[in-house]
Amino acid sequence: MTTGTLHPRRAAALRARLSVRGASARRLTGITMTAPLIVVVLAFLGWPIVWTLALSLTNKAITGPTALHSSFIGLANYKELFASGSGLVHSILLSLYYLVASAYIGQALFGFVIAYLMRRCPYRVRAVVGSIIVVSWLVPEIIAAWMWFTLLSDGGTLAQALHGAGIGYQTWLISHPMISVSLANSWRGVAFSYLLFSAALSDIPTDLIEAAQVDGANSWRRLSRIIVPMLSATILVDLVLITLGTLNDFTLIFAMTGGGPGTDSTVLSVFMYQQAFASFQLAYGTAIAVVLLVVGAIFAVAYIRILRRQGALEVVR
Amino acid sequence: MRQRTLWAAGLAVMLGAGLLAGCGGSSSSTASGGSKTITVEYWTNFDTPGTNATLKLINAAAKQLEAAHPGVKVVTDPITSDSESEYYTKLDLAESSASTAPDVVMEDSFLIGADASAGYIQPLPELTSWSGWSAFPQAMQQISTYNGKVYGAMNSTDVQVIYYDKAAFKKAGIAVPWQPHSWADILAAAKAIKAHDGGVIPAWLYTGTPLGEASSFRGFEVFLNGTNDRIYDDSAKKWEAGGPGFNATWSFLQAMRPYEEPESDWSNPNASETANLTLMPQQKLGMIIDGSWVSTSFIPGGPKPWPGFFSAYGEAKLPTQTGSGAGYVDESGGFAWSVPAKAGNRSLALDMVETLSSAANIAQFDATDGNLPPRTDATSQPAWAKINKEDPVLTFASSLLQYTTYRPNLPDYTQISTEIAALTGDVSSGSMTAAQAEAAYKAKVTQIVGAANAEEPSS
Repeated sequence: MTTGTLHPRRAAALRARLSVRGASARRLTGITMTAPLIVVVLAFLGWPIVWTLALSLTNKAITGPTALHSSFIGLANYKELFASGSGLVHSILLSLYYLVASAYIGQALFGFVIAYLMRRCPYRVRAVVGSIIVVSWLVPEIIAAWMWFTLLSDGGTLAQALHGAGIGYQTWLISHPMISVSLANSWRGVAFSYLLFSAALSDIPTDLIEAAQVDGANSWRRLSRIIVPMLSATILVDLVLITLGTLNDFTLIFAMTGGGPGTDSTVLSVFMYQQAFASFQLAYGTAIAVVLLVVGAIFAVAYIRILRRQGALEVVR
Repeated sequence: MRQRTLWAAGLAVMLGAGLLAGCGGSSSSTASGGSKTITVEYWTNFDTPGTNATLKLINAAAKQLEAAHPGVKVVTDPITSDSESEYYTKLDLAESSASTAPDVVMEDSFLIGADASAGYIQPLPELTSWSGWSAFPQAMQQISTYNGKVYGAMNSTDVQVIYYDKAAFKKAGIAVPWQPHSWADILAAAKAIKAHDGGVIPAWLYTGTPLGEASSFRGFEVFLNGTNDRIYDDSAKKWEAGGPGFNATWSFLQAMRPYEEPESDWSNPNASETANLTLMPQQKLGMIIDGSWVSTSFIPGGPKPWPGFFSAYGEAKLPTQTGSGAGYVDESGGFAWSVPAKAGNRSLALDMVETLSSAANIAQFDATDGNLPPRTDATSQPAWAKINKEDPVLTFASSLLQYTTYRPNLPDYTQISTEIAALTGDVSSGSMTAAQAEAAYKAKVTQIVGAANAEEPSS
């Protein structure tokens, strides 16, 4: 306001003083402004994690003598969990299968393919197809699970339709439970990746692609050398989000197969639920939750390192 | 202006009152002007579908209690869940905190030991001096007793019965009425049915994790109890980690595998409804080992009225392995009314338990639901006489109480039972042989109860 009328020397001195004070003031402002977030994160994320870790070192059960009077038993739950025959490795492998089949292939890859193919479509086609895809994302998870259950179950929609066409149907929920739940999760989650990719694709300048075309790059080269590298940050963000969502997914699988038949679709989250709430071993189930947390963290750390190497971390910040 | 002030004042008062009411609204009793509330928690899916028997019982008892204690109000707190284990979990979690603990709860008798040792439910020694207590036979008093203390009054019990389809048996050349005298007789009948009629499931056995306790109780223990082994050795106070009887039972289940329902039928939590309300009326089951209450589904006013049931199906007793001992064996369960340790109003809750358990209330409830009454004097009540005429199976079932046994009323039972259910499924699906199931059972039991509390197989 009035700085214009200040003597140049006084103005310089004032600026110097302000910048010293400014640095600490800015730091203070920064801390003050982020404090609520830090408190919220500590209270709603940090504390439950600490509590979970603590609980997993006890023998707390839902019923029985250790229900209200549990005691510290060290790493006994983990020893039992990592002993052979506990079913942990089986569940981790099923979780990874679910991740690769439904998140990487069914959602990310397929979502990208749809977005890429639709990029040149007329607006109306995109609007119609896009909204149909998004509807699957808007359907509540439990309803999506029920829809797929009625489609694939014994005597369900698919069985009836195939029967009408004279084809026999082997109940997929029983014979191929992991394929069934992966299909359902792909169907439900593909819209998210599709939306993310189609937004990012529309941000790529068309003249860049046209220039490559003029230089003689065929469509595969344009895709692999220009479009995918330019989307790498988006791809990683998409993978981070859908990986954690898929690893932690419980509702869809539990509602469709209950983890069965036998333990054929008992992914980590279902295994955790069964031990904690069906077998009443709360602390043991909590130890499985910790393993689930670690598996998720390994993926998250890997993604963040790749993002950082690419200098693309700003996107997620 | 004045009117507006009045409105504002009124609104403020209402809000204030609402807040106060909100603060005071705990689940247990609130003493304001002498009015007291007690909460009764129950499982909606306990009933034979469509009967609402439990809610009707609580409402009837509530009226009687409210009449006897002016100012008292009974509130029902239903827990809705398809699976039994979900009910147990929700109930246990509610009982674990004073702010959520109801005053009266419906406890599955096999959980009484676990929940008593957890400190969820409290001893009710007054029940033994209550006038109605002597009407409960000793076995029914024992089933709700843990460590010498009474934790509740039974409101229903049952026995397990083999229902068999007379038409399928005749077609297979087996004479009816049929009564197997050994497991071999059951296997032979299943084989004959399969050979003569490909469209019928020869034998429905409860099996696998989805049906949980039913698989362990009705699909394994009723057989094991027909051998010389038991899950729990009462005299040694140890869990049996296997033995000849266990071996024989697993082998029998393995032998039955080609004749039992396919995995697609048993691997979902609604399997028992499919068996009882779809396959039985279609006469697609040669035989099924099920609870004595199943026949009540088919009486007029039941969920699947079918007068032809009582002539189409016959009932048989469960034989011991080789017909030794009494020749027959059975196992009973049932639910009891208990009072959580953190209940708000103990003496009213106790009154409510006694009211719920009166001879007339028990007769009405068990008649509506097709259970066997745990009180001997309930059978002389008018409600029971009526149901007995409509459902002759109940008379037959009552006669089986002489053979019956009960599950060990101990905290570790729940976990062991979960393992048994899983292993029955593994044998049924063919992913384990009888020998593997035996080895896995031994490992699991030893792990759950500790080597010191497990008894090595005697052979």
